[in-house]
Amino acid sequence: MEIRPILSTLLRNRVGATLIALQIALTMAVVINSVFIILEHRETMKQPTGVDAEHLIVVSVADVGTDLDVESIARDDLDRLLAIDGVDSATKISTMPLSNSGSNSSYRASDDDDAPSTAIAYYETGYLGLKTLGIELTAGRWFEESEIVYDPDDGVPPKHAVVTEKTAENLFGDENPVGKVFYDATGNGTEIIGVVKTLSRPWYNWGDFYATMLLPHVHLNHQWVVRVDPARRDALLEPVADALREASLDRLVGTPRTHSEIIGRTYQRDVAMNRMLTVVMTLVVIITGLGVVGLASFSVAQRRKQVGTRRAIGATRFHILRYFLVENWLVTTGGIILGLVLSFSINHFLVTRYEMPKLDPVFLPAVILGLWGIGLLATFGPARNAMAVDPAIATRNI
Amino acid sequence: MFTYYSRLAIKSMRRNPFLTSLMIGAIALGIGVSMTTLTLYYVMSSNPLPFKSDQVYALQLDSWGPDDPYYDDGSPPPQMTYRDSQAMMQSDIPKYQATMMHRGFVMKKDLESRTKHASARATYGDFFPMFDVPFQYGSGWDRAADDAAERVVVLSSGINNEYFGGEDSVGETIILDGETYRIVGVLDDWRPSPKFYDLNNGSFSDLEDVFIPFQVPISLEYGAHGNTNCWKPEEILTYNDFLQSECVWLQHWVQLDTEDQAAEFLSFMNGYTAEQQALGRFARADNNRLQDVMSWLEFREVVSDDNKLLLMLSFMFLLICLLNTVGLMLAKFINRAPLVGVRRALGASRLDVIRQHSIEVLVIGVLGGVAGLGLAFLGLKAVKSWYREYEYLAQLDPTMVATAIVLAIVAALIAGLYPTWRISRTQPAVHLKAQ
Amino acid sequence: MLQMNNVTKVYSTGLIQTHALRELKLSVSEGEFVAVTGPSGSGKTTFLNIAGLLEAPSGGSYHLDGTDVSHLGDNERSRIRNEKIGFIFQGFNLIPDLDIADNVDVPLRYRRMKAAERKRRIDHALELVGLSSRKRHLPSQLSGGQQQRVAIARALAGDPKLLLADEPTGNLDSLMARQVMEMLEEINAQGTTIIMVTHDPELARRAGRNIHLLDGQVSDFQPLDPQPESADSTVADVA
Repeated sequence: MEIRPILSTLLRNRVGATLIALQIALTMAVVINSVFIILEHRETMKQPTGVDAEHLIVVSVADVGTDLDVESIARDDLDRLLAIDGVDSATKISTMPLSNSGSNSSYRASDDDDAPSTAIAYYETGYLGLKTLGIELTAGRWFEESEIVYDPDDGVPPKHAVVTEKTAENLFGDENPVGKVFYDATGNGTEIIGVVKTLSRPWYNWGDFYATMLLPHVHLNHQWVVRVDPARRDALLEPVADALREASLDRLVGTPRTHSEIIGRTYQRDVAMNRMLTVVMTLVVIITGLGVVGLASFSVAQRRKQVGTRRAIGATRFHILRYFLVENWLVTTGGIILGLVLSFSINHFLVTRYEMPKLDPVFLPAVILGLWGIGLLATFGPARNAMAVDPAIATRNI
Repeated sequence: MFTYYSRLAIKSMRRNPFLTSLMIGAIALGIGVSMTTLTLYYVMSSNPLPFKSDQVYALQLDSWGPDDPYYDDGSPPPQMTYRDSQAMMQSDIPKYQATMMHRGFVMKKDLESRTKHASARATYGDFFPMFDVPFQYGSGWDRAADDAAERVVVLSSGINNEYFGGEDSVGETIILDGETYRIVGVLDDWRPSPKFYDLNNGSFSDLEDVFIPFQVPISLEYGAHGNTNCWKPEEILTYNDFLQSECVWLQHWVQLDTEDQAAEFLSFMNGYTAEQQALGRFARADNNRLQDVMSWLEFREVVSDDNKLLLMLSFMFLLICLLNTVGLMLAKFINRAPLVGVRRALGASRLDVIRQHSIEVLVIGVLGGVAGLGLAFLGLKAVKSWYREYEYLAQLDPTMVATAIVLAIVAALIAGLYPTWRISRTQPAVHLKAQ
Repeated sequence: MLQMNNVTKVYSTGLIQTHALRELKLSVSEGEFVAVTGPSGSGKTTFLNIAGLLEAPSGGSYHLDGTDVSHLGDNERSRIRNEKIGFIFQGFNLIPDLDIADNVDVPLRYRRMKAAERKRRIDHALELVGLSSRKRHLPSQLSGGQQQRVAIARALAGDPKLLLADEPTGNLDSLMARQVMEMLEEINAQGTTIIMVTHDPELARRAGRNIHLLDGQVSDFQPLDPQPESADSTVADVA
């Protein structure tokens, strides 16, 4: 191949080649770091919550008054909700997965004060919780209707709990957790009666995402979560809220929202960031591509005579095409090498300065191939113009 | 000569519209993207209390347990326990001082009207003068009202508009959780951004609907809607147990006008810590902090790492656009070398050539800047639609518009520096012979 | 008008040095019409570049209009080119996106002249070459001969003392070539000194004096028959 003469031509035309190589290098650094962050966010957002979010409608209620009977209000609300056509089940619940608000507490596997503690986020809910949320029970049993405590006094610990597999593992390792008792900070014990496969925390940015449990408590201010047919979900939002409004005049009913929307709001910042990064990345690639087209056209225009001379002394059209493509490939590759160094330096800076995760080079080959492709594609047009140069130009004077 | 060169620049740009629009487009995109992220960054890191941010401090009293510090780096907790905040309120060193909490109430204008949710801040009367809160009608309340837990309320202008049509409602009443409150003041438009005094419910969340004396929810035995963090295993059976517990849940701010006052107050805090240690509380001596507004915002990382990274990437993008423009300008200028040779032969000095090409670069920069501003406007619109919390943030103010134009011109001039220098070195003789 | 003493010009590219001019001695008096001839590579173009202050000599001295210009800086040389010298090129070298009047305007602009004065000069110069009616045409809309006349108008507009012409008829057919030549003779008759580089012997013969270059030196001195066109032309010495 004719790499050596191409290289020496490039070295004599350093500025143009350097500009392209620098652009490729910076493009690579921007793309790699953006893709990396986008994938990180996607990975986070892909984690399942353990509930059937697309079946669920969530409405907050606040009743004002003194000496309200929580149980009878809850039962009355439930009857109204179940009377709606399309509603499969409903329950009161303290908070929802990925709703960004909830409670978290420390527990121990024994009542020894020195035993290691583990943090568990908890949901308080009623006897229809399992069915409504659609969680998968893998061991033991769910709460009986009679085990639900309505309006428990402050500080009264729950007798029973259903924990996730992750929580069971954190507390008791490989042992069968069903029937075991764990303790809160003041030494009150709670018995595990069942285990569910997964149930995520109400938030995703700190702590062990699946270290959660469900407790058989119902409070007056707990929200309602209603399980409906996903196909009719959006149409049922208002009927559900109306049914709850009708129950009492002195009641504040919040805007009904789908659980999917609530999760969407929690991830809004990540989604927005991903979109911004995607836009920046796309524009970078377009701009660099156009830049290569511009400079390649210029370089072809400058060398028309030279190309004509080459053609006159026997170069085929293919030779000319190949010349320009190889030239660009060399420059792009130079840029890629520089870009690798740059990308990893930036990542190193981010890792040390902002505690970001280390760059995983899994998608590097794809980025490199992509940049080669863009370089060749962008050169192809101008190189085809060079192919079309008339060999007779060599003998002409103007 | 300026108009002459501008005319030449426009002629030259029209001569090769593809290359010209590529250059303007590259600058515009670079400016558009970097201005969008810069605006976000600028607003997120802006000073919500510009005239006294260095006199107003958040209190960080280290009441955290002995095992581990609150933050991994040893920093004290960002909130206070009830008993410690009450102890701090006893000091008369600060000019103003207020502990505070946020929670929701069920609100009605009167007994017959529909209920609605009201977000409320319970705090001391000092809150208003300390944070320079503007009033439309009336004022805040005094320390006597604080101490007596009077049922008085200050309305936001939004609620006053809704309930009283924007009229002076001082002396009227509203109902919160079934109790009647007398209106003593109505706020003017006020939207501190970031909402520095309480970052628990989002750094840029809406202003509260109503403000009430701090002791009111305490007397009603209400907790806060925010973060409550506890370290100590202790029996909490009654509300009083909670108030006496080691749980931190209150935000606490003071105004200290001079550095001496600040030093005096910090030593008051440290003295309090020593006193409490003697009583068997508090694990860490002298780990108390006074953070003024800006260092508080930085400490709480109001600007996220993602945002910093995005800003960095968009400036790299601008750099790419500039390199692109350098290449294209170089190509364009070198292409024109023969004509520059003619002008040189006809008596143009190097400076004339530099002037002519700089003005062309300037024109491209201005056009790129204006187009970039348009793109930034669209970019911010898109960002707003993607992320609700940015809604009030993402606005181009005159500072940012000026920044965009200046940035574009500077960027274009930097990009044009080498090509212009290069073309000014054209040897007049070289290109004059018939090609 | 123009006096060159032992002027040399050496071009170096890497290891190779090319002597384009070797100790050239030559002088031209005011009002002369001199044709410089010589084969390819004899140094004609280099001579013209140095005479026109487009390049500086490597050695020797060059006096133009009584001033030593051999060691002037770039700005000074630009100013002298602008004020004292007019150029006419084989390839016309008009600026394609400026119209005729604007092309003539270019050297006047660099002289920082008032608009009214520029307009007067442009009109006058274009009238001289008979193109007043084409002021707003672009160069590409004119024939080669007309383009060269624009170039002449541009050279004249600045009222130069010395007109340098490089193969002014090289790209023109014979009819147009004759018109351009007649125009140059007329200009010379009005007192402007002209130095013309050409390899057309017929053209050279019409000049007042011929200088033949060979290998960067004046090889020969051929006194010509008295010129009917320029009565006051004097025969210059070659030292």
